[in-house]
Amino acid sequence: MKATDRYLRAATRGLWGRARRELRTELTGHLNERVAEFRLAGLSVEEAERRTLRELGTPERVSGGMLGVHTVPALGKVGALGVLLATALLTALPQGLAQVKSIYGNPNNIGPSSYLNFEQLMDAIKKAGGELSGPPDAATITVPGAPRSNYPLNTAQWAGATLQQDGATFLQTATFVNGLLNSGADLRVTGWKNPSLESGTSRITLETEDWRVLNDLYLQTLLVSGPKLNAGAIWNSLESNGNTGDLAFTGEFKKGSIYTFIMPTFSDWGSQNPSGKIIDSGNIILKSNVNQAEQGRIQFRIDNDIRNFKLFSDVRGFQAALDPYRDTTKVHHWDAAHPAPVLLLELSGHFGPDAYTVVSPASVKAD
Amino acid sequence: MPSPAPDSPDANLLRGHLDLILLSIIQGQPKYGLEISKQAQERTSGYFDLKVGSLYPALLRLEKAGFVRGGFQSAPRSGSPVKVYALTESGGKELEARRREFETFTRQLGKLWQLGGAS
Repeated sequence: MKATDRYLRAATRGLWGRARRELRTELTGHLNERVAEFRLAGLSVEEAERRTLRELGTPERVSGGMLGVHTVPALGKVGALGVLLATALLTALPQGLAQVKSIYGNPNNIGPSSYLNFEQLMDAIKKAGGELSGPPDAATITVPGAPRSNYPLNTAQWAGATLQQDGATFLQTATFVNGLLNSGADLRVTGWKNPSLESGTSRITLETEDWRVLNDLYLQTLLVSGPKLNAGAIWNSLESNGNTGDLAFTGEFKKGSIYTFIMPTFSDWGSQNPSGKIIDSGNIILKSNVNQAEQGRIQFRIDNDIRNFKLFSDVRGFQAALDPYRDTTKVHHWDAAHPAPVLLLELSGHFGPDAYTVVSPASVKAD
Repeated sequence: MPSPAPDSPDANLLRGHLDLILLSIIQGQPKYGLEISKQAQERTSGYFDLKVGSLYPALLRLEKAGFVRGGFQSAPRSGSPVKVYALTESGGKELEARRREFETFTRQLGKLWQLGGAS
Protein backbone atom coordinates (compact mmCIF):
# COMPACT_ATOMS: atom_id res chain seq x y z
CA MET A 1 0.00 0.00 0.00
CA LYS A 2 1.28 3.46 -0.83
CA ALA A 3 2.30 5.82 1.96
CA THR A 4 -0.48 8.24 0.93
CA ASP A 5 -3.13 5.51 1.16
CA ARG A 6 -1.83 4.49 4.55
CA TYR A 7 -1.99 8.10 5.70
CA LEU A 8 -5.56 8.54 4.45
CA ARG A 9 -6.72 5.32 6.09
CA ALA A 10 -5.19 6.29 9.41
CA ALA A 11 -6.47 9.87 9.23
CA THR A 12 -10.07 8.75 8.60
CA ARG A 13 -10.07 5.77 10.96
CA GLY A 14 -13.05 5.63 13.25
CA LEU A 15 -15.22 7.84 11.06
CA TRP A 16 -18.33 6.55 9.37
CA GLY A 17 -20.38 7.17 6.26
CA ARG A 18 -20.46 10.60 4.74
CA ALA A 19 -18.13 12.10 7.33
CA ARG A 20 -15.45 9.60 6.35
CA ARG A 21 -15.95 10.00 2.60
CA GLU A 22 -15.85 13.79 2.79
CA LEU A 23 -12.72 13.91 4.93
CA ARG A 24 -10.98 11.44 2.64
CA THR A 25 -11.83 13.53 -0.44
CA GLU A 26 -10.77 16.74 1.32
CA LEU A 27 -7.42 15.33 2.48
CA THR A 28 -6.78 13.73 -0.93
CA GLY A 29 -7.31 17.15 -2.52
CA HIS A 30 -4.92 18.74 -0.02
CA LEU A 31 -2.27 16.08 -0.68
CA ASN A 32 -2.57 16.17 -4.47
CA GLU A 33 -2.45 19.93 -4.59
CA ARG A 34 0.61 20.12 -2.36
CA VAL A 35 2.36 17.37 -4.33
CA ALA A 36 1.60 19.32 -7.55
CA GLU A 37 3.18 22.43 -6.01
CA PHE A 38 6.35 20.56 -5.05
CA ARG A 39 6.47 19.00 -8.52
CA LEU A 40 6.30 22.48 -10.09
CA ALA A 41 9.25 23.41 -7.89
CA GLY A 42 11.19 20.59 -9.54
CA LEU A 43 10.89 17.75 -7.01
CA SER A 44 10.42 14.12 -8.09
CA VAL A 45 7.04 12.43 -7.48
CA GLU A 46 8.47 10.40 -4.59
CA GLU A 47 10.19 13.35 -2.97
CA ALA A 48 7.10 15.57 -3.41
CA GLU A 49 4.92 12.94 -1.72
CA ARG A 50 7.43 12.42 1.08
CA ARG A 51 7.71 16.15 1.78
CA THR A 52 3.92 16.57 1.72
CA LEU A 53 3.32 13.76 4.19
CA ARG A 54 6.02 15.09 6.51
CA GLU A 55 4.39 18.49 6.42
CA LEU A 56 0.96 17.11 7.31
CA GLY A 57 1.88 15.72 10.74
CA THR A 58 0.55 12.53 12.31
CA PRO A 59 -2.70 11.16 10.80
CA GLU A 60 -3.95 10.13 14.26
CA ARG A 61 -4.22 13.80 15.19
CA VAL A 62 -6.58 14.33 12.26
CA SER A 63 -8.80 11.34 13.05
CA GLY A 64 -8.74 12.11 16.78
CA GLY A 65 -9.68 15.74 16.18
CA MET A 66 -12.47 14.88 13.75
CA LEU A 67 -13.87 12.25 16.11
CA GLY A 68 -13.89 14.84 18.86
CA VAL A 69 -16.08 17.13 16.73
CA HIS A 70 -18.33 14.38 15.37
CA THR A 71 -18.98 12.71 18.71
CA VAL A 72 -20.26 15.87 20.39
CA PRO A 73 -23.76 16.02 18.96
CA ALA A 74 -25.04 19.29 17.53
CA LEU A 75 -27.71 19.58 20.21
CA GLY A 76 -25.25 19.54 23.06
CA LYS A 77 -23.90 16.71 25.11
CA VAL A 78 -24.08 12.98 24.69
CA GLY A 79 -27.60 11.66 24.61
CA ALA A 80 -29.12 14.77 23.08
CA LEU A 81 -28.55 13.54 19.55
CA GLY A 82 -31.53 14.15 17.31
CA VAL A 83 -31.83 10.59 16.15
CA LEU A 84 -34.43 9.91 13.51
CA LEU A 85 -36.45 7.53 15.59
CA ALA A 86 -40.18 7.64 16.06
CA THR A 87 -42.84 6.26 18.44
CA ALA A 88 -43.26 7.20 22.03
CA LEU A 89 -42.94 4.58 24.72
CA LEU A 90 -43.19 5.16 28.41
CA THR A 91 -42.75 2.45 30.96
CA ALA A 92 -43.44 2.97 34.63
CA LEU A 93 -41.72 0.79 37.17
CA PRO A 94 -43.16 -0.75 40.32
CA GLN A 95 -42.57 1.24 43.48
CA GLY A 96 -39.63 0.09 45.56
CA LEU A 97 -37.55 1.14 48.51
CA ALA A 98 -34.84 3.12 46.76
CA GLN A 99 -34.76 6.87 46.64
CA VAL A 100 -35.06 8.06 43.05
CA LYS A 101 -37.54 6.48 40.68
CA SER A 102 -36.23 5.86 37.16
CA ILE A 103 -38.28 5.40 34.04
CA TYR A 104 -37.52 4.70 30.41
CA GLY A 105 -38.99 7.10 27.89
CA ASN A 106 -38.81 8.22 24.30
CA PRO A 107 -39.91 11.80 23.62
CA ASN A 108 -40.79 12.69 20.04
CA ASN A 109 -38.00 12.25 17.54
CA ILE A 110 -35.35 11.44 20.14
CA GLY A 111 -33.65 8.14 20.87
CA PRO A 112 -35.10 6.41 23.92
CA SER A 113 -33.26 6.88 27.17
CA SER A 114 -33.80 6.75 30.92
CA TYR A 115 -35.20 9.50 33.13
CA LEU A 116 -35.12 10.21 36.87
CA ASN A 117 -37.87 11.61 39.07
CA PHE A 118 -36.81 15.23 39.52
CA GLU A 119 -38.40 15.89 42.90
CA GLN A 120 -36.98 12.71 44.43
CA LEU A 121 -33.61 13.55 42.88
CA MET A 122 -33.67 16.97 44.58
CA ASP A 123 -34.31 15.28 47.95
CA ALA A 124 -31.64 12.63 47.41
CA ILE A 125 -29.02 15.23 46.47
CA LYS A 126 -29.94 17.38 49.45
CA LYS A 127 -29.48 14.38 51.76
CA ALA A 128 -26.10 13.76 50.10
CA GLY A 129 -25.03 17.31 51.02
CA GLY A 130 -25.47 18.87 47.57
CA GLU A 131 -28.12 20.92 45.87
CA LEU A 132 -30.28 20.57 42.79
CA SER A 133 -32.32 23.71 42.22
CA GLY A 134 -34.24 25.73 39.66
CA PRO A 135 -36.89 24.57 37.17
CA PRO A 136 -36.29 20.99 35.91
CA ASP A 137 -35.50 22.07 32.34
CA ALA A 138 -32.97 24.70 33.53
CA ALA A 139 -31.74 23.28 36.82
CA THR A 140 -28.32 23.77 38.40
CA ILE A 141 -26.35 21.22 40.40
CA THR A 142 -23.90 21.54 43.27
CA VAL A 143 -21.97 18.42 44.28
CA PRO A 144 -20.15 18.41 47.63
CA GLY A 145 -16.40 18.53 47.03
CA ALA A 146 -16.70 19.25 43.29
CA PRO A 147 -14.85 22.36 42.10
CA ARG A 148 -17.74 24.06 40.25
CA SER A 149 -20.97 24.81 42.10
CA ASN A 150 -24.40 25.72 40.71
CA TYR A 151 -23.50 24.15 37.38
CA PRO A 152 -26.30 24.41 34.76
CA LEU A 153 -27.52 20.98 33.65
CA ASN A 154 -29.32 21.70 30.42
CA THR A 155 -27.06 24.26 28.78
CA ALA A 156 -28.34 23.31 25.32
CA GLN A 157 -31.92 24.08 26.46
CA TRP A 158 -32.92 20.81 24.92
CA ALA A 159 -36.64 20.05 25.18
CA GLY A 160 -36.03 16.30 25.64
CA ALA A 161 -34.08 16.88 28.86
CA THR A 162 -37.31 16.53 30.82
CA LEU A 163 -40.59 14.70 30.41
CA GLN A 164 -43.88 14.54 32.30
CA GLN A 165 -45.53 11.36 33.43
CA ASP A 166 -48.38 10.81 35.91
CA GLY A 167 -48.08 14.38 37.17
CA ALA A 168 -44.37 14.07 37.95
CA THR A 169 -41.42 15.61 36.12
CA PHE A 170 -38.50 13.44 35.08
CA LEU A 171 -34.98 14.53 34.13
CA GLN A 172 -32.99 12.66 31.49
CA THR A 173 -30.28 10.54 33.14
CA ALA A 174 -27.63 11.55 30.57
CA THR A 175 -28.36 15.26 31.14
CA PHE A 176 -28.02 14.75 34.89
CA VAL A 177 -24.83 12.66 34.61
CA ASN A 178 -23.21 15.17 32.24
CA GLY A 179 -24.06 17.99 34.67
CA LEU A 180 -22.43 16.05 37.53
CA LEU A 181 -19.32 15.53 35.39
CA ASN A 182 -19.27 19.18 34.27
CA SER A 183 -19.27 20.26 37.92
CA GLY A 184 -15.94 18.44 38.16
CA ALA A 185 -17.27 15.60 40.32
CA ASP A 186 -15.47 12.27 40.18
CA LEU A 187 -18.34 9.95 39.35
CA ARG A 188 -18.93 6.22 39.54
CA VAL A 189 -21.90 3.89 38.97
CA THR A 190 -22.03 0.94 41.33
CA GLY A 191 -24.30 -2.06 41.66
CA TRP A 192 -26.86 -3.48 39.30
CA LYS A 193 -30.41 -3.65 40.64
CA ASN A 194 -31.14 -0.30 42.33
CA PRO A 195 -27.70 1.01 41.35
CA SER A 196 -25.99 4.04 42.89
CA LEU A 197 -24.26 7.10 41.49
CA GLU A 198 -21.33 7.91 43.79
CA SER A 199 -19.16 10.99 44.01
CA GLY A 200 -16.72 11.13 46.92
CA THR A 201 -18.76 10.28 50.00
CA SER A 202 -22.06 11.26 48.34
CA ARG A 203 -24.34 8.57 47.02
CA ILE A 204 -27.63 8.68 45.14
CA THR A 205 -29.48 5.40 44.82
CA LEU A 206 -31.76 4.91 41.83
CA GLU A 207 -34.89 2.84 42.08
CA THR A 208 -34.91 0.55 39.08
CA GLU A 209 -34.57 -3.02 37.97
CA ASP A 210 -35.40 -2.18 34.35
CA TRP A 211 -32.57 -3.56 32.22
CA ARG A 212 -32.95 -0.66 29.76
CA VAL A 213 -32.40 1.93 32.50
CA LEU A 214 -29.42 -0.05 33.84
CA ASN A 215 -28.02 -0.38 30.31
CA ASP A 216 -28.44 3.35 29.71
CA LEU A 217 -26.67 4.21 32.96
CA TYR A 218 -23.60 2.05 32.35
CA LEU A 219 -23.54 3.06 28.69
CA GLN A 220 -23.03 6.67 29.84
CA THR A 221 -19.66 5.67 31.30
CA LEU A 222 -18.62 4.41 27.87
CA LEU A 223 -20.12 7.32 25.94
CA VAL A 224 -18.26 9.80 28.12
CA SER A 225 -15.02 7.94 28.81
CA GLY A 226 -14.90 4.88 26.63
CA PRO A 227 -13.32 4.09 23.30
CA LYS A 228 -14.43 6.26 20.40
CA LEU A 229 -16.65 3.51 19.06
CA ASN A 230 -19.60 5.53 17.90
CA ALA A 231 -17.64 7.94 15.70
CA GLY A 232 -20.61 9.45 13.97
CA ALA A 233 -22.72 6.32 14.12
CA ILE A 234 -25.58 6.04 16.57
CA TRP A 235 -24.73 3.96 19.59
CA ASN A 236 -27.85 2.32 20.95
CA SER A 237 -28.53 0.10 23.84
CA LEU A 238 -30.37 -2.89 22.47
CA GLU A 239 -34.10 -2.42 22.09
CA SER A 240 -36.51 -5.33 22.41
CA ASN A 241 -37.63 -5.01 18.81
CA GLY A 242 -38.59 -8.63 18.25
CA ASN A 243 -35.34 -9.53 16.56
CA THR A 244 -33.34 -10.26 19.68
CA GLY A 245 -32.09 -13.48 21.19
CA ASP A 246 -29.84 -14.63 23.99
CA LEU A 247 -26.15 -15.40 23.93
CA ALA A 248 -24.14 -16.74 26.84
CA PHE A 249 -20.40 -16.84 27.38
CA THR A 250 -18.47 -18.94 29.87
CA GLY A 251 -14.96 -18.14 31.03
CA GLU A 252 -13.16 -15.83 33.38
CA PHE A 253 -16.17 -13.75 34.44
CA LYS A 254 -16.25 -12.33 37.94
CA LYS A 255 -19.47 -12.67 39.91
CA GLY A 256 -21.23 -9.30 40.23
CA SER A 257 -18.99 -7.55 37.68
CA ILE A 258 -20.58 -5.65 34.79
CA TYR A 259 -19.82 -6.46 31.16
CA THR A 260 -21.04 -5.19 27.81
CA PHE A 261 -21.26 -6.80 24.39
CA ILE A 262 -20.81 -4.32 21.48
CA MET A 263 -22.26 -5.40 18.15
CA PRO A 264 -22.56 -3.65 14.76
CA THR A 265 -25.84 -3.81 12.85
CA PHE A 266 -26.59 -2.44 9.41
CA SER A 267 -29.16 0.31 9.34
CA ASP A 268 -29.11 3.64 7.53
CA TRP A 269 -29.22 6.53 9.97
CA GLY A 270 -28.97 10.29 10.00
CA SER A 271 -28.63 12.91 12.68
CA GLN A 272 -29.97 16.42 12.45
CA ASN A 273 -29.27 19.82 13.93
CA PRO A 274 -31.96 21.81 15.77
CA SER A 275 -33.32 23.24 12.51
CA GLY A 276 -33.85 19.75 11.13
CA LYS A 277 -30.98 19.72 8.65
CA ILE A 278 -29.27 16.33 8.29
CA ILE A 279 -25.67 16.83 9.41
CA ASP A 280 -24.35 13.30 9.44
CA SER A 281 -25.33 9.85 8.25
CA GLY A 282 -24.03 6.30 7.95
CA ASN A 283 -24.96 2.66 7.59
CA ILE A 284 -23.72 1.01 10.79
CA ILE A 285 -25.35 1.30 14.20
CA LEU A 286 -23.38 -0.06 17.10
CA LYS A 287 -25.68 -1.71 19.60
CA SER A 288 -24.73 -2.79 23.06
CA ASN A 289 -26.10 -4.90 25.84
CA VAL A 290 -24.86 -4.54 29.40
CA ASN A 291 -25.34 -7.23 32.06
CA GLN A 292 -24.04 -8.44 35.39
CA ALA A 293 -22.05 -11.68 35.40
CA GLU A 294 -22.49 -14.79 37.50
CA GLN A 295 -19.32 -16.63 38.49
CA GLY A 296 -17.75 -17.79 35.21
CA ARG A 297 -20.79 -16.99 33.07
CA ILE A 298 -22.65 -14.09 31.53
CA GLN A 299 -25.69 -13.80 29.32
CA PHE A 300 -26.44 -11.05 26.83
CA ARG A 301 -29.36 -10.06 24.68
CA ILE A 302 -28.14 -9.83 21.13
CA ASP A 303 -29.47 -8.69 17.79
CA ASN A 304 -30.17 -11.89 15.82
CA ASP A 305 -28.46 -10.40 12.75
CA ILE A 306 -25.07 -10.84 14.39
CA ARG A 307 -25.30 -14.57 15.11
CA ASN A 308 -22.06 -14.90 13.12
CA PHE A 309 -19.46 -12.85 14.93
CA LYS A 310 -15.78 -12.58 15.75
CA LEU A 311 -14.52 -11.24 19.09
CA PHE A 312 -11.66 -8.76 18.95
CA SER A 313 -8.94 -8.32 21.56
CA ASP A 314 -8.47 -4.58 20.98
CA VAL A 315 -10.49 -1.56 19.89
CA ARG A 316 -8.26 -0.66 16.93
CA GLY A 317 -8.56 -4.14 15.45
CA PHE A 318 -12.33 -3.95 15.88
CA GLN A 319 -12.48 -0.58 14.10
CA ALA A 320 -10.25 -1.76 11.27
CA ALA A 321 -12.38 -4.86 10.75
CA LEU A 322 -15.48 -2.66 10.42
CA ASP A 323 -13.91 -0.34 7.84
CA PRO A 324 -14.75 -2.40 4.72
CA TYR A 325 -18.43 -2.47 5.70
CA ARG A 326 -18.93 1.30 5.88
CA ASP A 327 -19.37 1.66 2.13
CA THR A 328 -22.98 2.87 1.91
CA THR A 329 -23.21 2.15 -1.82
CA LYS A 330 -23.20 -1.61 -1.15
CA VAL A 331 -25.52 -3.93 0.74
CA HIS A 332 -23.80 -5.79 3.57
CA HIS A 333 -24.81 -8.81 5.67
CA TRP A 334 -23.14 -10.64 8.49
CA ASP A 335 -22.78 -14.35 7.74
CA ALA A 336 -20.27 -17.16 8.26
CA ALA A 337 -17.98 -15.73 5.58
CA HIS A 338 -18.39 -12.18 6.92
CA PRO A 339 -18.59 -12.46 10.70
CA ALA A 340 -19.54 -9.30 12.60
CA PRO A 341 -16.60 -7.78 14.49
CA VAL A 342 -17.67 -7.57 18.15
CA LEU A 343 -16.17 -6.48 21.46
CA LEU A 344 -16.68 -7.81 24.97
CA LEU A 345 -15.78 -5.17 27.58
CA GLU A 346 -15.65 -5.28 31.35
CA LEU A 347 -16.99 -2.02 32.80
CA SER A 348 -15.62 -0.44 35.97
CA GLY A 349 -18.57 1.97 36.38
CA HIS A 350 -16.09 4.84 36.74
CA PHE A 351 -16.32 7.88 34.46
CA GLY A 352 -12.66 8.04 33.46
CA PRO A 353 -9.99 6.41 31.35
CA ASP A 354 -10.44 3.17 33.32
CA ALA A 355 -14.13 2.90 32.30
CA TYR A 356 -13.54 -0.34 30.42
CA THR A 357 -11.11 -3.15 29.69
CA VAL A 358 -11.39 -5.42 26.67
CA VAL A 359 -12.02 -9.04 27.64
CA SER A 360 -9.55 -11.32 25.86
CA PRO A 361 -11.30 -13.59 23.33
CA ALA A 362 -8.96 -16.39 24.44
CA SER A 363 -10.38 -16.31 27.98
CA VAL A 364 -14.03 -16.87 27.07
CA LYS A 365 -16.17 -19.22 25.03
CA ALA A 366 -19.63 -18.70 23.51
CA ASP A 367 -22.11 -21.37 24.62
CA MET B 1 17.39 39.03 31.04
CA PRO B 2 14.02 38.72 29.30
CA SER B 3 13.49 35.79 26.89
CA PRO B 4 13.35 36.75 23.22
CA ALA B 5 9.89 36.76 21.58
CA PRO B 6 9.09 33.17 20.48
CA ASP B 7 8.92 32.39 16.77
CA SER B 8 5.75 30.35 17.24
CA PRO B 9 2.83 30.82 19.67
CA ASP B 10 2.32 28.74 22.79
CA ALA B 11 0.18 25.71 21.85
CA ASN B 12 -2.60 26.63 24.30
CA LEU B 13 -2.66 30.21 23.06
CA LEU B 14 -2.93 29.00 19.47
CA ARG B 15 -5.68 26.50 20.34
CA GLY B 16 -7.64 29.13 22.23
CA HIS B 17 -7.64 31.51 19.27
CA LEU B 18 -7.79 29.05 16.41
CA ASP B 19 -11.38 29.92 15.47
CA LEU B 20 -10.56 33.63 15.36
CA ILE B 21 -7.49 32.93 13.21
CA LEU B 22 -9.45 30.77 10.76
CA LEU B 23 -12.42 33.14 10.47
CA SER B 24 -9.96 36.01 9.88
CA ILE B 25 -8.28 34.14 7.01
CA ILE B 26 -11.51 32.89 5.41
CA GLN B 27 -13.21 36.31 5.38
CA GLY B 28 -13.27 37.95 1.98
CA GLN B 29 -12.25 35.29 -0.54
CA PRO B 30 -13.42 31.67 0.06
CA LYS B 31 -10.47 29.30 0.55
CA TYR B 32 -9.68 25.59 0.84
CA GLY B 33 -7.67 23.93 3.62
CA LEU B 34 -4.23 24.10 2.02
CA GLU B 35 -4.75 27.76 1.06
CA ILE B 36 -5.82 28.57 4.61
CA SER B 37 -2.76 26.95 6.20
CA LYS B 38 -0.44 28.61 3.65
CA GLN B 39 -1.98 32.04 4.17
CA ALA B 40 -1.66 31.63 7.93
CA GLN B 41 2.05 31.04 7.45
CA GLU B 42 2.73 33.59 4.72
CA ARG B 43 0.81 36.50 6.23
CA THR B 44 2.47 36.04 9.66
CA SER B 45 5.98 35.25 8.37
CA GLY B 46 5.69 31.67 9.62
CA TYR B 47 4.42 32.52 13.13
CA PHE B 48 1.15 30.58 12.66
CA ASP B 49 1.91 27.06 11.45
CA LEU B 50 -1.46 25.26 11.30
CA LYS B 51 -1.06 21.51 11.10
CA VAL B 52 -3.65 19.42 9.30
CA GLY B 53 -4.51 17.68 12.58
CA SER B 54 -5.84 20.89 14.09
CA LEU B 55 -6.93 22.67 10.89
CA TYR B 56 -9.57 20.25 9.55
CA PRO B 57 -11.27 19.43 12.87
CA ALA B 58 -11.50 23.20 13.54
CA LEU B 59 -13.01 23.83 10.09
CA LEU B 60 -15.54 21.06 10.70
CA ARG B 61 -16.43 22.60 14.06
CA LEU B 62 -16.94 26.02 12.44
CA GLU B 63 -19.05 24.46 9.71
CA LYS B 64 -21.23 22.63 12.22
CA ALA B 65 -21.66 25.86 14.14
CA GLY B 66 -22.86 27.53 10.93
CA PHE B 67 -20.01 30.09 10.81
CA VAL B 68 -18.56 28.78 7.54
CA ARG B 69 -20.08 26.97 4.58
CA GLY B 70 -18.06 24.36 2.69
CA GLY B 71 -18.46 23.09 -0.88
CA PHE B 72 -16.28 20.98 -3.14
CA GLN B 73 -14.55 22.57 -6.16
CA SER B 74 -11.66 21.53 -8.41
CA ALA B 75 -8.24 22.63 -7.19
CA PRO B 76 -6.23 24.85 -9.59
CA ARG B 77 -3.12 22.64 -10.06
CA SER B 78 -4.09 19.00 -9.53
CA GLY B 79 -7.78 19.29 -10.48
CA SER B 80 -8.63 17.20 -7.41
CA PRO B 81 -11.79 18.15 -5.52
CA VAL B 82 -11.02 20.36 -2.53
CA LYS B 83 -13.48 21.72 0.00
CA VAL B 84 -13.69 25.49 -0.25
CA TYR B 85 -14.88 27.37 2.84
CA ALA B 86 -16.71 30.69 2.81
CA LEU B 87 -17.81 32.82 5.75
CA THR B 88 -21.58 32.83 6.38
CA GLU B 89 -23.46 35.85 7.64
CA SER B 90 -23.40 34.53 11.20
CA GLY B 91 -19.70 33.73 10.73
CA GLY B 92 -19.08 37.37 9.82
CA LYS B 93 -20.88 38.48 12.99
CA GLU B 94 -18.96 35.92 15.03
CA LEU B 95 -15.66 37.18 13.64
CA GLU B 96 -16.57 40.77 14.51
CA ALA B 97 -17.64 39.79 18.03
CA ARG B 98 -14.50 37.74 18.67
CA ARG B 99 -12.27 40.46 17.26
CA ARG B 100 -13.82 43.07 19.54
CA GLU B 101 -13.50 40.70 22.49
CA PHE B 102 -9.83 40.05 21.71
CA GLU B 103 -9.06 43.73 21.22
CA THR B 104 -10.74 44.65 24.50
CA PHE B 105 -8.85 41.88 26.28
CA THR B 106 -5.43 42.95 24.98
CA ARG B 107 -6.21 46.63 25.60
CA GLN B 108 -7.16 45.94 29.23
CA LEU B 109 -4.15 43.68 29.71
CA GLY B 110 -1.97 46.45 28.29
CA LYS B 111 -3.19 48.78 31.05
CA LEU B 112 -1.88 46.35 33.65
CA TRP B 113 1.52 46.37 32.01
CA GLN B 114 1.60 50.17 31.94
CA LEU B 115 0.69 50.43 35.62
CA GLY B 116 3.02 47.75 36.92
CA GLY B 117 5.52 48.30 34.20
CA ALA B 118 8.86 49.60 33.25
CA SER B 119 9.37 52.29 35.85
